[in-house]
Amino acid sequence: MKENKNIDALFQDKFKNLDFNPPTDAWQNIEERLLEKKEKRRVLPFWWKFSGIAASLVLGFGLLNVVLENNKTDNSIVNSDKNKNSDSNESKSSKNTNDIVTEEGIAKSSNDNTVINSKVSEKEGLNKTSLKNDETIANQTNYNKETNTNSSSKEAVSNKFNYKNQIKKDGIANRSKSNLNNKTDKNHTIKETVLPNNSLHNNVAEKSSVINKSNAFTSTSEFKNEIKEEDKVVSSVLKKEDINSINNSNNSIKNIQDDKNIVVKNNIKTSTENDIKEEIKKLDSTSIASVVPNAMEELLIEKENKKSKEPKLNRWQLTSNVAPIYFSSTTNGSPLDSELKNNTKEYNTNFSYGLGVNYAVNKKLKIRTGVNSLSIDYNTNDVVFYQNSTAKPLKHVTANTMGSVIQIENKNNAQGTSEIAPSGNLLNKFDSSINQKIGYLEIPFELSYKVLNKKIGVDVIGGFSTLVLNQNEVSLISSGTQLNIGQANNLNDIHFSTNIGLGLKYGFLKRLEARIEPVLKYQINTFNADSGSFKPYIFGLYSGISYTF
Amino acid sequence: MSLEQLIYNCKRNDIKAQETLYRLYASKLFSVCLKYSRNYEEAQDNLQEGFLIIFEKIDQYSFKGSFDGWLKRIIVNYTLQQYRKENFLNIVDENFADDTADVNIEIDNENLSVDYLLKIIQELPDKYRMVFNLFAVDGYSHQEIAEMLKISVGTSKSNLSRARLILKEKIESGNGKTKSLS
Repeated sequence: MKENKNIDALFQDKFKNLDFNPPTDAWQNIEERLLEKKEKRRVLPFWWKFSGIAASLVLGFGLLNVVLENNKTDNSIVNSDKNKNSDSNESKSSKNTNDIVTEEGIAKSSNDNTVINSKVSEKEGLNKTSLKNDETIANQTNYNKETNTNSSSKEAVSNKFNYKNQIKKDGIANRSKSNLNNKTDKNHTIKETVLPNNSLHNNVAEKSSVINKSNAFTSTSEFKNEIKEEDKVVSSVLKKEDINSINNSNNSIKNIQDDKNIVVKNNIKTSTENDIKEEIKKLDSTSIASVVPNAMEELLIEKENKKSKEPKLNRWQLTSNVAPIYFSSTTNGSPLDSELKNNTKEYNTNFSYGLGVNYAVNKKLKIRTGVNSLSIDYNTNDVVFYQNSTAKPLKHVTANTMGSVIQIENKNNAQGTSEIAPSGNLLNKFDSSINQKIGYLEIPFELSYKVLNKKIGVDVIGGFSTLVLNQNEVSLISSGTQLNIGQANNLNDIHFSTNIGLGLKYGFLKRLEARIEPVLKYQINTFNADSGSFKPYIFGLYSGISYTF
Repeated sequence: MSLEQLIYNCKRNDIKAQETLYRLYASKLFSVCLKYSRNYEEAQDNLQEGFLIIFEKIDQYSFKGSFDGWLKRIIVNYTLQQYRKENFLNIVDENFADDTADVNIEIDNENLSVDYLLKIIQELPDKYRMVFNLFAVDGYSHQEIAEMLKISVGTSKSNLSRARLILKEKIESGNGKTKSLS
């Protein structure tokens, strides 16, 4: 049967329910690779951390090397300057200019260096004079030995000025200092100054080497500022300089330099730290950048996001509860008989268990209800009893047949250890305690509010419970045997408690979570009549598992 | 076990759950691979690699949108990548974009096997095959295809026209001959 059909529609139609089983070995291949990956994944974290640390260390050292490298070139250039200057002082300039050119060529001339070099050559003339001056500043004894006689204070001032300019223009303090050093070097041997690296070995003080380091960080504005500040001080010193002797000015400059050194040291510390941090950042960003975002994937995700709606809140939760119950009273007193209110009470630990239903109003607030079985019991100690056919029962106990022939007395008030019956028989009094057991069905109605909602969650719980009496027993315990003597007649069939607690949960599956909730339940109207000022409360450590659906 | 629970288990790299997921979707996704790949063997390769990506990226699936769609997109995405990167040097004549060409075909529907259609699709040049599948079978727009394949809209249209023409020719000449394959 022939029919006319659009070719797109034809394929669409035919491919609509395409269902080809892949070859059986496909899964085996996938599984193999998955297991391989798992192995790798297990191994990975072991050295991952260390490799991270190692990488940052290597990086740090690398950085340090770069910095030191820069310093070296700086030094050599400075030294070449020195050579130039010192030589020109000795009027051998023609030879040395050649030397400088070669040295500059050899030095790994970063931009900074070349700039410095060009500046230096521009200011050659200036340096000549400044060198002389610096010399006078730096070393009075050297100065004296020199043929240059800068004894007049005026000259000293102009020299200072040069010094200041140098700092400003070059932004590097050490030039002047190294020039100074260079001069002193020259005083010792001319050979030494010719060696490009000699400044490291020579009497370049630690300070100057620190300053050298700072050359690498001339870009940091802080450092510049420091130098500017220094300039101010220098210039202010200069104003008064006319009158001051050269010695004084030397001292002040030295002091300033010392101060600067400290600042510079700090600067170096912070700047190297920053650099390392930046480098680490870079490393991180590159590792992220190496995962090239796939344009199509982005498009798909975008498309997906458009279609998607808010994830629905799973509102209902079923919980199980088991709790040890610690029962106690905020006051003394006895609900059995006011006679016994000062007797010691022994509160036993019981268990409560039940089921709960939670309904989430929103992400934070939940309404909780359910049903729990709860029983509490306590002993009133230090009582004595004896058999008596005309026994008067405890005030709030309705005695059963057994109870009606047992007379109970407070041991503290009892007279003697025996009683004489009307028949003349001697009735022995036995030490005992009274046990009261009360059981309830508890229907809580509580609100819980999420304070923390992570894998571990914290809730605050508050509410009240309705308690329906379902067990009421008073018994006498004596020498290991327990005898039921009746039940309390002052217990309300229904009473309430106010609850307050804290909920801690741990989600171990998406839908399942384990909880532990310490809750305090203060009983409000347990007794309908005189409770002997007995104000009970219970404290339960509720734990259980919740299932969300 | 619900699908949600299954996905959750896959996120924890539970190999059992991963196998269940594979069994659940393998045939559907293999069919996708068959459409987009050159042949059966490459389709299997693409399926395997695609599934490995799925298990790797399943952590990123946030239960938004359909899971089927998510799986299919990853598979298609991966397959496209394979052929896109191998063929970026292909010279395509963009001027051929004849929308008015007759795209209707007279066929013997009963005798036209899916196997045969798959075969002729697989035989198409990579770019034609991708564009035809994306546009005609899976309903993407030319704009979307252009972005996905990093080509122009014109190229996409031109490729589609050429693909249609080739397919039409093949169906008309070899109509029903390979029915025995199925």
